[in-house]
Amino acid sequence: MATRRKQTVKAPEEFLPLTPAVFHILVALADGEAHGYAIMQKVSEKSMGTVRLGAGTLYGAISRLLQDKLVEESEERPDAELDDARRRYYRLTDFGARVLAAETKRMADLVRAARSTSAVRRIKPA
Amino acid sequence: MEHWALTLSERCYRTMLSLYPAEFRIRFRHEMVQVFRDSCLDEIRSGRVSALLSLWVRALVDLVVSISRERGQALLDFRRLPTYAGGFIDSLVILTIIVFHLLVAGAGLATYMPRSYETTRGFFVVSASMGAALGGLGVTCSMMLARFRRIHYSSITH
Repeated sequence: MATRRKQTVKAPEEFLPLTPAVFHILVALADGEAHGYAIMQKVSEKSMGTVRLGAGTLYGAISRLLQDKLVEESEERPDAELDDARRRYYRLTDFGARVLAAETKRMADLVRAARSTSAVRRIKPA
Repeated sequence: MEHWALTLSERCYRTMLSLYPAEFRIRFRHEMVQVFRDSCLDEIRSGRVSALLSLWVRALVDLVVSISRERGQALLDFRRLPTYAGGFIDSLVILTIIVFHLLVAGAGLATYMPRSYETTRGFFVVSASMGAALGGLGVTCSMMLARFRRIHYSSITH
């Protein structure tokens, strides 16, 4: 007999703050589905080389994102002829997009608060 | 023909993945090897030995951190424990560990309890014994409880 666990609907805010790795992965998937290596490359590009995810960190984060239904596996292949059929593609779910938007807003609010302080206004970045 | 460094690197990396918990390994091993292989290919094409070495250093640090995290997660997550604790032999081992913990804690307490507040050493020995007993008991009881929970492997072996 299959056991049924009680499903509770979480609000996007309950996942905040996201870890840097999770945030970068969600940003990388925001443009469309991608496989593991493509996600790593996108993260590196978008962070201008400052963040380089290892395979262990990447798939550890993906495992939890799949569990929380922030991302899902995609059956679609952007280019089926050129691609290795064994690769798995991942895409952002609607809920994942809402979590990403909530985290972006939270960070924007923090940046706004920091910018309003005299210490930050006094020092101009190089 | 494949570059020898690629073949060797892939083989070593694949072996190290066996340190991950079984559930995680079954689900992501192939993808992780593929990603590592792609990264190696990029570095080999760049023609610099130092680039491949640098990749290996990053991969080793990543493996140590993520294996520790996944192992910790697997211990905390009851749903994953039956992977490790299953069968009559495991139950016997767990029961032996419980009894051993209790005996050690009891011996420690019996020896030092009357004098525990007189010496700093005694105080620490009693505290450590109690900590070991309670910690060990907690972990082993969790494992015993986990044995009775159902797990559906179909969801992880697809």
